[in-house]
Amino acid sequence: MQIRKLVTFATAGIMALGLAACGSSAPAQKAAEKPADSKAEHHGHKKPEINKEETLVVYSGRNEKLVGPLLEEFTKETGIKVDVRYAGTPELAAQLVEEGEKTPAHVFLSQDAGALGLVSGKGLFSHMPHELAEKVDAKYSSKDHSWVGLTGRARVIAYDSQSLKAEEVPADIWELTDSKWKGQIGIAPGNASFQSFVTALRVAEGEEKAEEWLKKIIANEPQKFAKNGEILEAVNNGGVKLGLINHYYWARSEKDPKTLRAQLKFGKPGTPGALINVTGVGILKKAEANGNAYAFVEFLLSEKGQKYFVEKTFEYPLVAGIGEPANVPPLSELGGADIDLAKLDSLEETVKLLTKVGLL
Amino acid sequence: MQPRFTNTVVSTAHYFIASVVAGFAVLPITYLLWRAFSNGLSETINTLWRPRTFELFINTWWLILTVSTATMVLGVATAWVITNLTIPGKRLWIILVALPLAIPSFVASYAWLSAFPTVFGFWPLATVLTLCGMPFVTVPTIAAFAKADYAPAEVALTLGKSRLHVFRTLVLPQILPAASAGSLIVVLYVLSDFGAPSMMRYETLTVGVYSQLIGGAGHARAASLALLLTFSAALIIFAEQQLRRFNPQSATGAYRYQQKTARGAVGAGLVLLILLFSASVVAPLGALLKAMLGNERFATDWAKISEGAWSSLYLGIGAATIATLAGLSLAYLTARVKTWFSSLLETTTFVGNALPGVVLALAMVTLTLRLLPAIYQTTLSLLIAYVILFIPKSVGAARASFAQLPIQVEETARTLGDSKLAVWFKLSLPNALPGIAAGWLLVMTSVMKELPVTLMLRPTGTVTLATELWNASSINAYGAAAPIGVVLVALGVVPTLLLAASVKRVLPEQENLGAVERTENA
Repeated sequence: MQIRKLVTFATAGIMALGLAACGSSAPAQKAAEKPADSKAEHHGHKKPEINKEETLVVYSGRNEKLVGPLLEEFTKETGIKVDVRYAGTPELAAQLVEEGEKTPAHVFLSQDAGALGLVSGKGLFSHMPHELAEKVDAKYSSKDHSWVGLTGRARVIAYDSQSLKAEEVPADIWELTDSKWKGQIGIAPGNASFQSFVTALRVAEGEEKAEEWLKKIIANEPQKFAKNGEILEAVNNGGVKLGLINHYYWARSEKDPKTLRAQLKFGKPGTPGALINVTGVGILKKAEANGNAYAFVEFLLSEKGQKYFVEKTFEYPLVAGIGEPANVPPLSELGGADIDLAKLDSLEETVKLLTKVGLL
Repeated sequence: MQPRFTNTVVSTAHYFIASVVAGFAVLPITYLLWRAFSNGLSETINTLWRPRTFELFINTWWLILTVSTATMVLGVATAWVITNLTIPGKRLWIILVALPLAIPSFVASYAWLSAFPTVFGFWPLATVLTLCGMPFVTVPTIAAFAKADYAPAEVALTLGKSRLHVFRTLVLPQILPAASAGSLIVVLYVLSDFGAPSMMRYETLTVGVYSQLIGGAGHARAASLALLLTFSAALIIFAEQQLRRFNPQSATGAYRYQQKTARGAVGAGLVLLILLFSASVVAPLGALLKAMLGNERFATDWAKISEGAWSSLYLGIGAATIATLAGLSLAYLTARVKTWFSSLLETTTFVGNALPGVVLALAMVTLTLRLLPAIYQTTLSLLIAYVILFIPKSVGAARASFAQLPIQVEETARTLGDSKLAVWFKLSLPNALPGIAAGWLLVMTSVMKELPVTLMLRPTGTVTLATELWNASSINAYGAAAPIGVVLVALGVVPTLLLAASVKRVLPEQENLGAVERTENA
């Protein structure tokens, strides 16, 4: 029938439209240009004006319950209204990459360096103003000044205090390959902080050693989780004896952390197991001269902002002279691994390695 | 009755609408194909052709085979108990049996793990997914039983055939289209689910997709794995279509069955219903409430919860209505016509349902920005995404319902002078109402608990119950999540009311019940 043929072509037409839409290359995604040209302008430039009429759009990979009050504090102090999109950090990074230059966001608040590195690698961040970036030790921010670190998170081993004493728990990650821990270790291979840790291992000890460690761990039949929070739950319930997580999950549990069945063992200083991961913030290209975005980052790096992180989210402040969270050792004692954190941006290679050994 | 291979009752309008809908539903797949091969063909083959991928593939298939069988058996049994036994409180049970739909799979998994922390892996996961997915079979099957024709069954009984034989040969084939449509939805749901398998530490293809995506750089690899999911879905959809070819239609109209009153059967049926309800609704809510007792840190934000409840409600009703209306033509078309064209339309519409939410969300972000950037991150784009995502649920249930009316009835109506479309409006549509209501229910509850697409496409600042639940659970504040879970389940009652109203036929009037009892005791 004629009409049915017409209908078939109409459908094919819509599909073709869809393919064409996907097929056409987006300049934003192909370009990997670093914001090098703007570097010269920003040394000694004037602080941009805030605009109370304009709403600041923030993409936050950090949880609403944790940073919501801080953002409200920012609005109270500066009068700038904030529109926050809360979602998972990797999903937001993926979304920012898909959106490219059409993104409505001004600022990306990220839970880990890997996501920031991904967005930076696609050339989507603007150059972070010099006076903001220098508030934080250079090793905690990106080398190309596209994003700045805000707080630190220590890699730790959560252990079941009912069946293990603190001394029995390994401080060195290589001890985890011992067969006595078979089936007793919990890891989250799909999680960004585990992948950062593996990247640190690769950078510190070399590709072959990293692969060897991974293979030995796989031989020890670890339990694979999707999230660190689930690992902590499992250690607390007795489902697993050791878990490789970040310190703050424990510190900010709903119950008093000292009463939990799961307790923390911090890694041996100087080893990848003692890695300090960072949360950070980046300003997107379109908000380069945006005063509101500038004020936002300034607030997060201010004493008020940093103190909030210490008291409410139990993370280590990266701006000097603020203090440290309760119930955990100070940052100076930890002596995190001797690695240039900016090198942790190279997540792609780590993901390839994890895929190769079969963890992903 | 042989299926028709020529078209006698389907109007061209249906072809047109169904094609447009299928065209929209296939857009995310085009995105997926583009993404999967964006790093080159050899990279794609490398990702797919390795032991780890095989492992994920086999794991996934074991899971879907087990869960689909279990839900089919339990779903049909539950539906039969509610419609064919004189259990007390039928209206209530129709509502209760649909409530597990409001519970996200990760909440059900959390409940299991907090009760049995050391028991995880395949069997617990299969149990949790069966309990979560059962309503997808039960709900359309109740609608099907409501319309089933028992006259041949009654006659066969008088001729001496056993009840079991009669059920197997005369009643079961009538409800099988609805049950298998539901089973198909369950399979697609299991394929796309991430929350439960990841918490239960059983690695399926979707878990693999998420892991690659979270690395940030593995978009192409994630998309390749998602292609495998699509392929699996297409296989199953095809199998289900083949199974459907030979389903008979009844010759006479609906005839109400005399429902059983034997106390033993009623008692056993009631026990089954109570057990299933406790395991699938009471246990998850109970686990959350138990966590609430230990919650010392996070206060409950009732303002946010009521805002979320309101959004979930209007988004759910909006998306469900649009999806149901949009899917009617496709449902009718695939019920009546069985050609390669209708098969193709159905496959393209259904196959997107197997994709993990995050893949679909990213697809929708790209597509919206390229095709209609003005509506990006508005309620409209969110509704469109929900419709594309959930239309298979309404089409499946509606299709089974349309198929229950014998085609001869419609053809007869046509010989009396009405056009195809008029017959459809006056006859087919009203008759299929229970199935359509079932589909509406399935879509609305799915929208209320949907997460990845909502997070990416919602207008900034819009809050739904699902996003609030996620907020709490992602920092392990399950105690704070408890009130949200309760409100979500309470809201889940709303869509069930429509279904309960449309299947009034199976609910006995008090007088009839009395008459049966008197006859039995005489």
